Amino acid sequence: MLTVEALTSGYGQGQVLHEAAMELPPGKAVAVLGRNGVGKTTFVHTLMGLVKPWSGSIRLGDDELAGLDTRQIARHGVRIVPQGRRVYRSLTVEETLAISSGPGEWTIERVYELFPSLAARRGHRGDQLSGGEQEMLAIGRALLGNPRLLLLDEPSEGLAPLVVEELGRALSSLEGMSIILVEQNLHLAVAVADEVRCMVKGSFVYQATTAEFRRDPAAAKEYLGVGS
Amino acid sequence: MSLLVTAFDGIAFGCLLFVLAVGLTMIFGLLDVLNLAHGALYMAGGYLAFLVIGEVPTSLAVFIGVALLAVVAGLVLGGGLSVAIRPLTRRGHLDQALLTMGLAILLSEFLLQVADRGFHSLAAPRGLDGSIAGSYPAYRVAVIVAGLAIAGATFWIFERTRAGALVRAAVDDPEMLAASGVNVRRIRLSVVLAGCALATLAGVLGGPLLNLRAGLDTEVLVLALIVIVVGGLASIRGAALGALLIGQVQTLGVALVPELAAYLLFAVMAAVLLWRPAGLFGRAT
Repeated sequence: MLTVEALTSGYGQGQVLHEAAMELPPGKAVAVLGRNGVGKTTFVHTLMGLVKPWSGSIRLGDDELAGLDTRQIARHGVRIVPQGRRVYRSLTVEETLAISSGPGEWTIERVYELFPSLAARRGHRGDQLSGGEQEMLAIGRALLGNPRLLLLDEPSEGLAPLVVEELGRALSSLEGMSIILVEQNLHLAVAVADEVRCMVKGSFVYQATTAEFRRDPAAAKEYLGVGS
Repeated sequence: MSLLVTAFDGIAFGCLLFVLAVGLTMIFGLLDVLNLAHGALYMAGGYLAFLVIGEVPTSLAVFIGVALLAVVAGLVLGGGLSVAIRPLTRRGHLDQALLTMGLAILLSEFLLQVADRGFHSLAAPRGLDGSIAGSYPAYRVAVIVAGLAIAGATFWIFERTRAGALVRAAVDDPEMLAASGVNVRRIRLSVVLAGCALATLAGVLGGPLLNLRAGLDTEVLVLALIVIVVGGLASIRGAALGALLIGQVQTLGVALVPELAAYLLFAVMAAVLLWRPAGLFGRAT
């Protein structure tokens, strides 16, 4: 489905990704884990074309995405829920969803079913929403593009535990969608993802199914610096 | 009574300023380009009308026809402008200022060559060349009506339509809009075209109010810049309120304290910026 090979990129002179390689099986959710600053956000930004790849290949199905601009990548069916959410602050919930809606199975009504609290705020502007509501809006905006590949960058960042739980339930319900989830919150990551990849210094160094990763506390300790 | 008349003149002038400034503020909000050729576009609209119909009164139909012609000219000039500024997209404001100022000089000098350097004014069209309520010029009322209609239409498009939502989204976060598969470049082009067409339209509307002459471009440009700084950049509400405020300050100032009128504008701008540094409806960044 998604095959990334020898991907390098960075900012200015500073190289961040070093020959990153991974495969995402179709319909699976993969969590990308790693300590702060190892290049997780740069990785998803490079997939979306927000950071230009220096070299390497990003194949989605039969399409080569490396070198395309962000809009073309979006047209190939990739959507991102960015870190910090980046909702349109002057647009209402309803307007944001309306301009993001394309042909396909996802409709605005279905987004409201997934996130009922968003439906209650449909007339509110992006900058009037809570962090959790903004995250839901950013996810809804991405889903309405009926993505073949959904990139989620730190969706739980700065959110209350109850809200994170609600997000986890919603994301787990997206069974069958191909997802790359960058997440610091290990509980959310293992609850949502089918597989786990760990990143160190801009490369992927570990891969396992979520079940294997749960039984491997040494990996969590080595790559994430957590004791569980 | 005469003060009331002056205040009404201020509203008419404010409406004219809005039609000019709304495009300037949206082009800046969306492209981060301060179009210093905006005053020259206004001038182009006025001179185009002068070259076509001269200074004699025409029928309302001809006048409206000339206004539509100016809109077409504005679209063409706007297309040229967006081609010219595209290479400078990621360059600093200074480069863009030099480019658009250069284009402004070229355009205004071209107009003065084609016409002449004398003073001219358009006549109000027949039917609007009389007075209303005893002595108030009907044409100024027509400018107010036209200005309000354009403001209303702009608000409606901007706040109530899908196209308007796309423009606002492109101001808020163009990168995320592109990441949703939207062609942001096309949105930017539409806004440049619309803004330039409104500027040339303003030139025709203002033809019977402000004399056509050398230097008109910088004069109206400075007023429009003050309007959008006072109102807050990239805000249509701000452009509307700023235009009405500056229209009043300018006309009342000239009527009451003519020797201080020019300073008064800048004093108002300074006062607003001290009170709200981002302008009345600007976003704090």
